[in-house]
Amino acid sequence: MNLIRVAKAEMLGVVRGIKERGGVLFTVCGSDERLWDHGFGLYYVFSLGKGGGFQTVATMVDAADAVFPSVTSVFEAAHWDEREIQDLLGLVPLGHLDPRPLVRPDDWPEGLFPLRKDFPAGERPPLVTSREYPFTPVGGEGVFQVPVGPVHAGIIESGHFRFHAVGERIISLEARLFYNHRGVEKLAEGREVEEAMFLVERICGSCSCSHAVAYAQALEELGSLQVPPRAAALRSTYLELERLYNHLNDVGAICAGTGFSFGAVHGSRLKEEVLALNERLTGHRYLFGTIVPGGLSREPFGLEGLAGDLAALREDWGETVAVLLDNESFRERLRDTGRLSREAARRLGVVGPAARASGVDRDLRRDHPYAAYGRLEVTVPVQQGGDVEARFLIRVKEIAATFALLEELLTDLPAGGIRVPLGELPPYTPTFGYTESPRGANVHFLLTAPGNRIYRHRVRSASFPNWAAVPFAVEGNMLPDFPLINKSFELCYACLDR
Amino acid sequence: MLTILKKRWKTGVITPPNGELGPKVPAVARGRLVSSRVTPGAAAACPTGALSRCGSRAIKDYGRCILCGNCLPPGRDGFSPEWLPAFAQREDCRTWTPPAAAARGKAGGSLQIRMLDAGSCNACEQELGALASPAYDFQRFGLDVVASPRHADVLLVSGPVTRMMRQALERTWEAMPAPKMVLAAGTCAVSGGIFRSSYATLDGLEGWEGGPVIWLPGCPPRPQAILEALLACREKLRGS
Ligand code: SF4
Ligand code: SF4
Repeated sequence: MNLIRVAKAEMLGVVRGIKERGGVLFTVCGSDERLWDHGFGLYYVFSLGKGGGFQTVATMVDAADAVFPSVTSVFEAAHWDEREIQDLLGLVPLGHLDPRPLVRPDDWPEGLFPLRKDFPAGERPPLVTSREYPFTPVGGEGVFQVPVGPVHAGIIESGHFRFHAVGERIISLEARLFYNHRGVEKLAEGREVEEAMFLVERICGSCSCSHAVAYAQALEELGSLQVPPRAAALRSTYLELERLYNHLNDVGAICAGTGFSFGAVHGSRLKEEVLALNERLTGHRYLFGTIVPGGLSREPFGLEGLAGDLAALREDWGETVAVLLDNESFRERLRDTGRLSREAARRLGVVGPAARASGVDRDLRRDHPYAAYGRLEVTVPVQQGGDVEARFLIRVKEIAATFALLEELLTDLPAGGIRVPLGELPPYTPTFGYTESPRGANVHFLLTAPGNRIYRHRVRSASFPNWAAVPFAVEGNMLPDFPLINKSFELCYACLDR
Repeated sequence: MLTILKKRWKTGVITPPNGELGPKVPAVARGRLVSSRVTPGAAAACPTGALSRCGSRAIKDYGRCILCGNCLPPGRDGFSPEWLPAFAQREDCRTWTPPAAAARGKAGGSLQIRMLDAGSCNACEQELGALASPAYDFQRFGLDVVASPRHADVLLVSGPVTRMMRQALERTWEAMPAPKMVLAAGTCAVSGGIFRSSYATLDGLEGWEGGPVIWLPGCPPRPQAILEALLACREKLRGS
């Protein structure tokens, strides 16, 4: 890993230099290192763009002086990362513009930080009287508040939205999330790295394989391992199937958001077909239990006929999407709705299809290839509109690109083994792995302890930076358009909350 | 309009005939663990404590099993495609043995569902969502998801019940009119699953005493299993 250690006081200067070189925030991790040092390690990882690799900046925060300079004045995208560090590790980011709690449950006692090592795993501190979350007050004549959630009318994950509106027009939205916080990172600590995979693939059902591969790659990087070519190609195959069923789902969901039932029904029908393919190949509709550190858990069950079935599906999808693209009243409804500017997308570090729909040309599969992507032709569509229509079109184009990738992968699948042993990993050495999930950059940052056990595990999925951007796309739109705008991002709460 | 009709005609009816819950399940599906295939002494390998100790192959608690296959020989073959039934008591997840032939749900009557995600990984929700797709079409059984707890007969809970969702669970339950019941959908909701004993969760609905619960393990339970469990809820409510 390309890592520099700097003193706390030099941190901001170094980070500013990285910004000038075009660096983009990739992930942040805080870790309790009092076991072998005098405080807490802080790691900021930056991507230096296509072919430029990564740069990690590490600093030590003394236990007796548990504050650190917030980097948000340079990289605004770190705003939630630092609030999370404050909640879970008890380190205070100085100069942070919004230091309210983020992850901590409302009934959590003050001064208890679950990711500190002296907080015992399995401990459930008693409830304290729930604190009211301090929503940003909005005033003025005719402004009214609309609270929505955490339970929703339908099959939607839990989260709370606080709208302020004048008439039907939204003047501000605050999303209060983390209702589904399960303490995944603490649960991982102390587990044997192979067993922790069962936890990792359950961080999120819709990005399960992306999480699993990112995590496995972090370990393989640490152990200087190369997975066999067949395993790499099959990993890419599974990852593309995951993208396919997610994008089909999302296109259907956008149609549902406008009341266009034809698209909604065909979207869910086609998604179901891909889930069935997943199950036929791996025994699991969401690909759980498929990836292991070092390769794959087993050979796929039924590769025969897969290429033919995918070709039929591609044709079926082609007929469906032609109807959607041709329908001007549907397109009209998406146009100019929920616009996220390129400037905001960059500033907030938005990733994945949402970024590419706002003119930000980034895709980890092409820029920092992993699995089998290095030898594949990865097409990265970019749209400039930043509205729901652009996010819809990005998915349509990516579905086409994914079908092409799958065809390429399956026509020349390497033979050979699918797994190599992991071996003994060097302890207390930072490492990370990543994938371009259906929603964008998904990064797993790790430190292991002796005996191949997890010491610290930070997960920053694509939904993490993207959730913070949703309110910006919503402002100025009509209240009833919120579901549609939200669906065009189609973020995971489970991924974000962990 | 014409193109829409053309595509509809070409796709045809994909919903299975009445009496069938959904599409055919492939033989390789992970429905439930087969105890005779478990590696003796694998209890230590189980990440959720679903197996009995002392070198046996016995499954101590189906309500904890996440179907990960870590207790199986390499390749992890040892699952039956048949899914587990919904259990009337939490205890039944511990004592159940596979019957020779499973009795499957019957049609008749309706049931309104309120969905509450209490920290699920969202695969459980997606399987409920799949029931609305034409491949299952749960409305043909008189089932539907409703927008208000006031209209609901059954509260479908997924996830291990996080600290932040506990209050929402209580309030939703209180808002529902009697007769009513809870379906704990998925191993998480039954026992906490892989998230058991976290600082941020409870252990599913295990210790919850608010009302009658039906228990459906699975990680996630497949759409057919959820459908069957909902039909079982309907039978129960009708009897009450
Ligand atoms: S949870 Fe995994 S290891 Fe435990 S019994 Fe189930 S399949 Fe076996
Ligand atoms: S039971 Fe399994 S699939 Fe369902 S929410 Fe829990 S981890 Fe996810």
